[in-house]
Order: sequence, then C-alpha cells, then structure tokens
Amino acid sequence: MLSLKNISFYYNKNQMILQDINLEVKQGELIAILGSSGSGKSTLLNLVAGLEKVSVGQILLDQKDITDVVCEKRNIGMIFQDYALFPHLTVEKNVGFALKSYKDPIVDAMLKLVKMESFKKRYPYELSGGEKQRVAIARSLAAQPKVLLLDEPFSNLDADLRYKVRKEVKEILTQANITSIMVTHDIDDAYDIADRIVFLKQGRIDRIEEVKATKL
Amino acid sequence: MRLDGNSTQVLFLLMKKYSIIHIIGIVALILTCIPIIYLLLQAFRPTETVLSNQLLIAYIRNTIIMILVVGFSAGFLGLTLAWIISFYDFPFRRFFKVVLALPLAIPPYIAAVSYSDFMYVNGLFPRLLGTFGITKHFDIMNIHGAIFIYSITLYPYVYIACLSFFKYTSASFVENARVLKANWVKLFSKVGVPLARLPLVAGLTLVIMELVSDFGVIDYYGVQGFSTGIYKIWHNYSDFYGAIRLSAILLCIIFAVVYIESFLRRRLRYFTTSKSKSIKLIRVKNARYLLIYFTLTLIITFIIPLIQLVYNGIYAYEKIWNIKLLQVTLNTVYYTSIASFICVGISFVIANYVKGKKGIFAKTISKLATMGYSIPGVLVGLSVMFTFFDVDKLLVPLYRFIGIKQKVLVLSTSVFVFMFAYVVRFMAVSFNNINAGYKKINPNLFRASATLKQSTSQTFWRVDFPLMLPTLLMSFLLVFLEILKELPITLMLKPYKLETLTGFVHTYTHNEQYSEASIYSLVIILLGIITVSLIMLFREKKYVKS
Ligand SMILES: Nc1ncnc2c1ncn2[C@@H]1O[C@H](COP(=O)(O)OP(=O)(O)OP(=O)(O)O)[C@@H](O)[C@H]1O
Ligand SMILES: [Mg+2]
Repeated sequence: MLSLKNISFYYNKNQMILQDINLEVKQGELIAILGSSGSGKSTLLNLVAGLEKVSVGQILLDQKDITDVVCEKRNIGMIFQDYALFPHLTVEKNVGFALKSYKDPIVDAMLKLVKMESFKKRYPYELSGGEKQRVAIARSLAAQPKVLLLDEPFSNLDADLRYKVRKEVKEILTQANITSIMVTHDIDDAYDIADRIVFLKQGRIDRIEEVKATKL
Repeated sequence: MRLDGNSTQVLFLLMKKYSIIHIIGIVALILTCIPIIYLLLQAFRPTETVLSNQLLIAYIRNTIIMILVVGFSAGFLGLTLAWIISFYDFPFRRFFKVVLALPLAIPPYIAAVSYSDFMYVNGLFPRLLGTFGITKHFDIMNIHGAIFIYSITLYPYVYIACLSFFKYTSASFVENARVLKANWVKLFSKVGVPLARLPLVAGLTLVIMELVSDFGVIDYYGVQGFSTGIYKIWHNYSDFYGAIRLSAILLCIIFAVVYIESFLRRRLRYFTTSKSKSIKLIRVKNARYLLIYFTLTLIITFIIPLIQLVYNGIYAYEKIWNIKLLQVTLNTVYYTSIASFICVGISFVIANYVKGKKGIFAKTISKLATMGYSIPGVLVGLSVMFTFFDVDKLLVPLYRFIGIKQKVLVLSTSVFVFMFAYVVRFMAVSFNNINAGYKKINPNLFRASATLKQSTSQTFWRVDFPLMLPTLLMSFLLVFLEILKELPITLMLKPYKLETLTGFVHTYTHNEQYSEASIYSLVIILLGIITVSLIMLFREKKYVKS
C-alpha cells in the first residue's frame, strides 16, 4: 500500500544522505529499519511523513502519488524519539489534538487501548517515559493515519521496561491493524516485533530480511 | 505600479511560498529599516559642516573613557552581586535578589538630575556632612558624575544576565571548586570570573549600547558626547549633514562593539550548558560585610535618587497632584503599551518565520530585526524625522487635495511617526527575547503538530502561541520599560499636543522647575518599578515543564 520508488535525498549534491531506496510495504505490516547512527533512518521517516522533501523519486500511498503533498495532508502519523507531547496540554487534549474536540469518543477508545484512561487529566511532565510513549501512540492513532512511523520509540526506556513496552506496542499496533515503519538501532527490537527488517547502510538498503521464526 | 500578467504571477508565487502574515511582518520590518539607510546615504554628500576635528576628538575620547570606566564598574557590581546571590545563602537573600534589579526602573537622566541636587550646595548630602561639622559640597555635573550615574543605573543589565546564566550553569563546576576547599576570594576569581565571561559579554554589550546611545545624562551634565553632539549640531546649527556624518562615525564604533561581542560569544559558546540543576547554596557564617555591601549598593543606586525626588516633590505636591497627572500617566501607559505591542507582534511573526530556517534570506531578516537596538535614539529620531519630512514634501499635493490647507508636515508631526520611531528603536529588544524563546521549544512539537494534520496557521495558534505566551509577555514588559525610560525620541518626535510623563519631566527640568519635574519622574519610576518587579517575578516562574 505504501511504496517508495527510487528515492534519493541530499542537502547538497556532493553528499547523498539516502540513495535509490525502493520499498513496498503491505497493509498491516510492521517494518523495522535497522542501521547505525547517521545511516539516514530518521531522514527516511521524515521523507515518508513529508517533513522533508525528496530530492529524487516518488512516494505512493494506495496507488496515489503523494510526493508533493504537504505533511498535514498525507495522513501519515509519526511518533518521535522524544515523544513530542505538547507540554501545555493534558493527556486527553494531547490525544484529541488532531480531532475537532478532545471530548470525541475516539479519545477514550485510544486511551483505553493504551491503558491510560486514568491519566486523562495529567500533564506530560507528570508521566514516566513509558507512559509518555503510550500517550504518544494514542495521539497518533487517534488521527486515524494510514501509516504510522516510529522513530526509535524505545530508546528512552531502560532495559526492563523496554522489553515489556515493545510487546505492548506490538499488541496495540496489531489490534489497530495499522501499517507501520519503525526505526531502531537495536537488533533485538527488530527481531522481536517486526515482520520484515530493512538494513540501511550509509544511505542505501543493504538487504531486507523476513522475520518468521520468532513469531508467536 | 501596474500589475501586468507577469507581476501578478510573481505575486501569486510569493503568496504561495510565504503566508500573508509572514509577508506583512517582513514588509513591516523592512519599512522600519528604511529611515536608517536613507539617513546614512546622505552621509556621502559633500557639504560644509560646523563639525570640527577638535570637537570630534573630544567626543571620541569622552566616549571611550566612559565605556572603559563604566564597563569596569558596572561589570564588577553586576557580577559580584549576581555571583553572591546565586551561590551563597544569607539573610534577606531573596529580598536583595529582586530589589537589586530595581535601579533598572530609574531612567539615567532622572538619576542624573536627582544626584546633582543631592550633592550640590544646600543639597541633602552637604547638609548631612554639615551635622558632622564638615562644610563641603560636590559638583558632579561633569564626566566623572556621568560615569557614576551610568554605573549605578546600568549595572542591572550585567546583574540580570549573570543571574540567569548562573541559574543554568553546570553545578559540578562550582561543586568541584568547593570540594577543593577554596576560600571565597579564590572561588570567585578562579571559578566565578572565567565562568561568567559569557553573561559578562552579553550584559556589558547592553551597558555599552545604553551608554553610547544615552542622551539625557551627558546633556544635563554638559559632557561632550556623540548623542548630544548629533542633537546640537542638528538642532542649534541646523547642520543636518554634520549630524549625519557624526552619526556615521558613532555607528562605526557601535558596529565594532557588536562585532567584538559576536566574536567573543562564538569563542565562549562551549561554556553554556542548558541543564538546570539546583545547587546547594553555601551558607555564609558571618554575613555582616556582605549585608553592608548589598545595603550600600541599594542605598546608593536606588534609595538616594528616590529620596531626593520625594524631597523635591514635596514642594510641588499640591500643585501637581491632580487629575491632570493621572491623565498624563494613563496617556503614557496607553501609548507605551501600543508601541510595545506592535514591537512584540512584528517580532513574533518574524521569529516564527525564521525559526528553523538556515537560508541567507532568513539570516538577513533576523539581522535586520536586531539592528535597531544598536542604533542610538537620537539617530533613530533624526532619521525617522528626516525620512518623513521628505515623504511629507512628496505628499503635499495629496494633503491639498483632501483639504488640509496650511500644514505641510502632516505625517512627520503625527503620533504615527512617533510610534514608528519607537518600533524602529526597540523591536530588537523583543525580537531577541522571542527568538531566544523559540529556540528553547522542542522543534519536534511543530513537526508533531503537522503529522497530526494541523496546517501551519493551526499549528501557530495551537502550539506556537500558547507555548510562547510567557515569552511574549516578558518581551512586552522589557520593551515597555525601555520606552518608558526613553528620552531623545520623545524630545524630537513627540507631537506637540501629546502629553507624556517624559515630556513633562523634560520641560520642567528645562525650566528649572525641579519640584514639578520630580513628581512626574517619580511616576515614571513607579511604573518602572512595577514593570521590573513583574519581570523579576516572571523570571522565577517556570510556566511548563517538558
Ligand atoms: N540539516 C542537515 N544538514 C546536513 N546534513 C544533515 C542534516 N540533518 C542530518 N544530516 C546528516 O544526514 C545523515 C543521516 O541523518 P539521520 O538523522 O537520518 O541519521 P539516523 O540514522 O537517524 O541516525 P541516529 O541513529 O543517530 O538517529 C547524517 O549523516 C547527518 O549528519
Ligand atoms: Mg535518528
């Protein structure tokens, strides 16, 4: 449903950040992008979200060319590494940010999905890292995007929590049946929850691997 | 201008690339820069001038002496006070923390008048000495007096800069030194001074800017300086071009200061840390000398000028204390607020536009927006006046057409141009503040908003605006304070019929009606105290934690 065709990206022509990226993502699939620091993982997500413009190539979503569509019209959600919750809004207002009103039943449904119903009235600074992350997921899902992008969603969590949270996230994403791309540089994260893993090396796709054995 | 197909297309492309509000902001900014450029272009016209080399040398010499001595004394006062308050615990600490910033509420020219009264024949100080059997009075209406006045009124710029910096400075830096069991003199000279280089540079730059652009003090004390020189050459000799040439030289000095500042700042940048960690204050066992230092500073910088004004004011109390005073006060608050509001508004739009942009255009725009503050009030007044004289001359046919018969100087004597000059001069104050505020907001918030289907303008109202509101209020207060204390622009451009506090202070002082002037001065200071207190309180509050 999401296809990246011959995507390249650079700030100046002498220094390519991403080169010849080709990728087909199927409905409901969870793709992990694995690569070392500086290999262009975040940049790739930014291109898909429309936060940066591709230099060369095309992005299609449900067969429609969205290469020149601005970010807010793409219908692609994103979860940032630092979660980027709005500090001046309560949890429920954060979750309802993309909706007409935070009283919309979707807000409650999403909070329930991430098990955060009782935190509605709190402000982000009153939440722990894992709680913030669940709110960020709820907020993105409430906008009902076609694709969800996650930039190192577990990097702010310590080892114990990390394991627990990533199972939870996988469950939430499966329940919501949403197509997602997750960036990580932790190989365990990738093998644990992804359907396919894209190995990124110096701005190019090195190889793509199916994950089967670890499922169930 | 006729809009043919081609230019409509260009316009359309522009509209597509920039939002309307950004275009308005940028146009407004560019408008504010025109007068200065227009003025400077005149500097190259060859003409006769009354400006002699001797005079010029006197201006330069006096200015440099004042910069050096005031820089040292204001720097020393500001840094030591901020250092002690930031790292030591002693009785009345919180009280002093706020009141030591209060001299910021006193316009230097008012302190100058007040202190010369205080020290002169029959003044309070000679009389106090008299009770000890000493007969002596002091004439401080000279460069030494000016240096003293600048030091006591301008040191809070350094004080506040250091205070803010120490709050966000790495605690370990100080903790380490403390473990080494350094005594306080060592701690200050080995850690404090090197640590404070960055806020010292920032604070002293403000002090120097205020000093070279000040008009009131050197005017009243009869010191030869640039601001008064420019004003007199223009006002007394009608030598426009001499004034402009002198301005050009002054601008060279100022740009040198700005250049040195940005150079030093770049070199010192590695010192900044953004993590705020509360430091355990060092308890002072014997705080007597410390309290004497603080109390003396407070008395000299704040209480004495105030007492002298109150003392003077008593004689005119019944004559002045009436509904008229209230009207003038409200009028002043009203116009000062409007000008401050415009400054904040334009700055906000510009800061929003340049945020996250790295291109040449964005850089130029933000340079332009910070330019005004480095241009002395006299010069801003002169250039705005000069520009609008010419605009008025152009518009005479229009004035005749719409039925204005005699008058030629319609715009240049209007409230509009008066406000315009304030905006030119003080926009940089709000822009710098707002721009710094923007840098503190996590840029991912704006991007998150976009991924949540919010357009740029929706993001502006739902994210930028609420998060920036405290900064906007702070900027408003800062500009308000500056305009309140401003003198030369008011002198040159205030419409004759418009009554402001500053206008009255100047008129009464000019007519040597010091009692009457005192009461108006006191009202200005009172408004200033309210503003400074709000600023100091706001600094303490953390609006949102992220
Ligand atoms: N604004 C910019 N201008 C120039 N180069 C940039 C800019 N932003 C990022 N880069 C470069 O792009 C490359 C890819 O950056 P990106 O942030 O996508 O890496 P990443 O794979 O997400 O790394 P990490 O794991 O550290 O987050 C890096 O080499 C970086 O230096
Ligand atoms: Mg990254």
